[in-house]
Amino acid sequence: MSSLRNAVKRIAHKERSQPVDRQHLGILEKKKDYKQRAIDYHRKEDRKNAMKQKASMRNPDEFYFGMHNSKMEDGKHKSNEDYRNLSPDLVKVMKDQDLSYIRMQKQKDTKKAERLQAFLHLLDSDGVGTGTHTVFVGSKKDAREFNVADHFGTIPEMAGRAFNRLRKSDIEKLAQRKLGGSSTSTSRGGNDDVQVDDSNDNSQKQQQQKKLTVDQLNKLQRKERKLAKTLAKARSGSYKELESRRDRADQMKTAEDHLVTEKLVAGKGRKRKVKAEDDGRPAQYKWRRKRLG
Amino acid sequence: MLWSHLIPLQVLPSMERSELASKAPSDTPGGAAVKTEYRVWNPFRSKIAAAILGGVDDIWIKPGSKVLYIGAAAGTSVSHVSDIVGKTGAVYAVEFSHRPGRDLLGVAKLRTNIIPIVEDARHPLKYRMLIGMVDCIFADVAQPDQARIVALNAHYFLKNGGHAVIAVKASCIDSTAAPEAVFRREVSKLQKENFKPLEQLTLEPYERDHAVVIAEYRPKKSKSSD
Repeated sequence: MSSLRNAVKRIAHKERSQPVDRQHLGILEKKKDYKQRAIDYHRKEDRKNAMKQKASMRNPDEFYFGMHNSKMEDGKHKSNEDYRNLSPDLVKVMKDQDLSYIRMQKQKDTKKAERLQAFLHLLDSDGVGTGTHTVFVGSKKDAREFNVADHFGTIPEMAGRAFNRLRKSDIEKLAQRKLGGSSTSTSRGGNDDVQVDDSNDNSQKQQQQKKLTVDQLNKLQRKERKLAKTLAKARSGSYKELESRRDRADQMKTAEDHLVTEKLVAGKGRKRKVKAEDDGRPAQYKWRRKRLG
Repeated sequence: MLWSHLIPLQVLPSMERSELASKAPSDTPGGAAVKTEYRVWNPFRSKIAAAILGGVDDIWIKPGSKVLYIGAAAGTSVSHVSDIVGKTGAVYAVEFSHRPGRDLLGVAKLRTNIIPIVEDARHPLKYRMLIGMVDCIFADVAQPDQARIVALNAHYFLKNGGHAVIAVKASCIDSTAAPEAVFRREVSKLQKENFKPLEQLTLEPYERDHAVVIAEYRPKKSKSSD
């Protein structure tokens, strides 16, 4: 029974330790210590054997892109540890190179955006941010009876816009060109709706009396619409490019600010942080008013 | 905005040129395919381009006309005006400061219809021997006494019934007043000097507080006028 066995306490047998005259040899190894050592040894052995096998089964034609930068010296692989041991001067030079590269990219994008803006005049923006056009007339009566379309000599549909407001004579000439000469592919920026409106009026006034059928007119209208579509697509692509170039130039400016701040902070002079880094902008520091020589 | 280039491709080393547009052989008199070269006209740099894109009725500068350009600067706008007036027209470009005057001379060397005048436009008598009667005056001087300069030049050189196209910068003439008031004052100053104002256009998306005023000088009295 358990209760009787508990009357006489079982003695916990203690481990025997290293004798005093053998203390210089370290601890007395027991089975558990040996086991720990053996497992570690065999793990290492297994790794070595596995590597030996892989080396023996190596594909001589193997290629990895890392091979460009690493070298083999006397049959041994020499790893490129230059980036770990760099002198401070070299680090400074490399950081300066980074700064110049960022500045170059910023300049490139600003110039390209400038060049794009030279011919992207925001003409489709429907009067957003346009100026005011004042016309001076002779008397108050003229001001009351002022008709925009008549003053500019254009049709009422075009009177509202500033860009490409053709006169009636120009519209006639354009219509004559488009309907009379179907072989010419050059167009002078005409509009399909205008052309269809006036074609019936002006066909009598033309020098070349060409009787066009409704089918031919429809075909011409469809071609005009297609052309207008491709032009609009190209134009929107250009505007998108302008916007993305501007955004990229701003990003480069922020990156440049970060690098310049880093350079100054690593430089001479006692300084204190005035403003923490916030929303992409670098931290702001203030230096002591002292000549640094 | 594109306008066909007066000078052929090989002569100029590098400018903002766009792709060449070719005319079909049937359009040209010789029967050969001709390529016309077009040049980009930047409205953010040139006031005339901004006025044209802003929808002005008439800039009164056409092929064959004689133009007096006051305030020519380095000659970028002047070269575009020279393209418009063509070989039969002439552009008299007046610029007072010497550094842009040097660039103007370089532009004038390549274009035969530009006559560069590096003189003060306030004293038109100093260059009166170089200019005949002109059809149009374009002024882009940015001076407070701009109206007086234009009037003086017009009295000597502008023909009766000729036109003046004046770019007015409100902050230059009076930086404290509202731009609208400044433009109105300039127009009234012109009216006193025998100019009849035709239209005024602010160059809004391209320039801030700038306007172009177009006026007729000594308009011919038509018989059926009211």
